[in-house]
Amino acid sequence: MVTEFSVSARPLVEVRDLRKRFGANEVLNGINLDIHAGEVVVIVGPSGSGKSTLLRCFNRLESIDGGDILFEGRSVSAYREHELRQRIGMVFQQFNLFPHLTALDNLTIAPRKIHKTARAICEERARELLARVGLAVKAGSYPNQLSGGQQQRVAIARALMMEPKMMLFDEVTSALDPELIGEVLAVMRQLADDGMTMVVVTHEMQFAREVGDRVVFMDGGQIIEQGAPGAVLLNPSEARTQQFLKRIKG
Amino acid sequence: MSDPSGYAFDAQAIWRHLPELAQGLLHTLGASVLGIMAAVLIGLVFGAARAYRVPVANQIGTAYVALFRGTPILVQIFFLYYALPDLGIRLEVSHVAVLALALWGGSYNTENFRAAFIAVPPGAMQAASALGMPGHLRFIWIALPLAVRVALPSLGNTSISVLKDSAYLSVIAYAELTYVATNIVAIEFRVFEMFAVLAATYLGMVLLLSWGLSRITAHLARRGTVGDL
Ligand SMILES: Nc1ncnc2c1ncn2[C@@H]1O[C@H](COP(=O)(O)OP(=O)(O)OP(=O)(O)O)[C@@H](O)[C@H]1O
Ligand SMILES: [Mg+2]
Repeated sequence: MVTEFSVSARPLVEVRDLRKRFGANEVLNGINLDIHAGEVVVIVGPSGSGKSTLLRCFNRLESIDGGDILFEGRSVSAYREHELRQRIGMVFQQFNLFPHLTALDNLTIAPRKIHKTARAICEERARELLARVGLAVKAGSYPNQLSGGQQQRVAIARALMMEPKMMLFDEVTSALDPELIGEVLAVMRQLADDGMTMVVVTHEMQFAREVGDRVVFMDGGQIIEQGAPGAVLLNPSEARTQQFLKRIKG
Repeated sequence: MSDPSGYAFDAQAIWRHLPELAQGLLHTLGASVLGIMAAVLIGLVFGAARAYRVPVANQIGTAYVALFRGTPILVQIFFLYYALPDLGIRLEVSHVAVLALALWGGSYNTENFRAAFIAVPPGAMQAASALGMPGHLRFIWIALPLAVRVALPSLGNTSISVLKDSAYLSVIAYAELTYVATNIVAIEFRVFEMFAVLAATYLGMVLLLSWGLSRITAHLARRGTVGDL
């Protein structure tokens, strides 16, 4: 029991002096960040500040140039790539569904082919997840028959199929028509309520305030300020945060 | 035999030669079907190798495409038939026939597949990566089915060309339809009858192939997209 307690007390993710550059462009300049199990961390910051790159370092879609990221106490580079990615789900701005597969098959293809799980078992779970995101009736639809909001909810369900320990959301509502944003945020809110660990890059400040446990403000590849959403978003102590918030409200 | 002031179309001539013509048609179909299938396979392998820049295979594919798209198919057929034996490779004429069609069609299909693999949406591949699908599974279950959909129209065009260009195989006396028909012309001067047979048969085969392809395309179009994604 004691060891179990100490394991769960340790952050799920520990980012230590993370550095990343593309050529001469230093994109992440020494990021330090802990994320605890069950926490919802919202990352905000201007375009080009390195938010996406940071997320993509978590599941090794980008390689790391310096420092380290520990996931469950183990360096992400020590994991086999696909094992790490099965533990960390990711949802993208552009949905990125597989256009040749139905919603149901979008959910089942990875577990069926990676783990050779029987189709019937996968489909049962997939139907549960589609119901959870409110799309039970769309199981047989192809992506081009779904609205953007529906596609994004399928994409969230698809990531959940792998039973990840943590979910990464990279501006998942930015490509949506305004009237479709709410349905996607509602699914994310539900997920947060169910205790999922989430790292969310978003410009939805209301969502950040209401759902986020912590807001992290990034600029120039560094964390400028972080803290409770109310503090960072309403009373930022750093000038750069103030400027940024004024700009996105303005 | 024929009236010098006008040509008497003799449908009986076709009827008389029907067994040989049918035999020729079988040879045409045999070489074409095998050639088309092998050409698709060659195109898939080298097209993927080129799109993903697989070392060595990419360079071989590039040289192969340059060579076979840059020279007339007639020259290729002659080369395979007359030059290979000098290199110690002895093949039956029917094997040369399939090989020639496969290599020629394969060079076009390499480009068809290369373009198709490049057109696969990177976002879909990235999503598959993020789900933890290893490279070989991403290729088989995501890239390949999407690339086939993109390539389908151009694969269809190349396959139709392979079918029609099987007529060139008559120059090495492969007893396909054109060879049989032109022999009959040479002996009996039934130019119009044989021309009618050739035109109708090739046209029929091409229309049938096009129809089949359009059915597949329509079927796939109902599930996702075809041609472009
Ligand atoms: N694959 C890449 N190759 C080269 N440079 C890149 C690459 N990806 C990102 N960058 C650069 O890294 C910097 C940070 O990009 P990143 O996408 O992480 O920013 P972001 O905070 O997510 O911005 P946005 O809000 O616009 O999405 C930018 O200057 C970008 O041009
Ligand atoms: Mg970004």
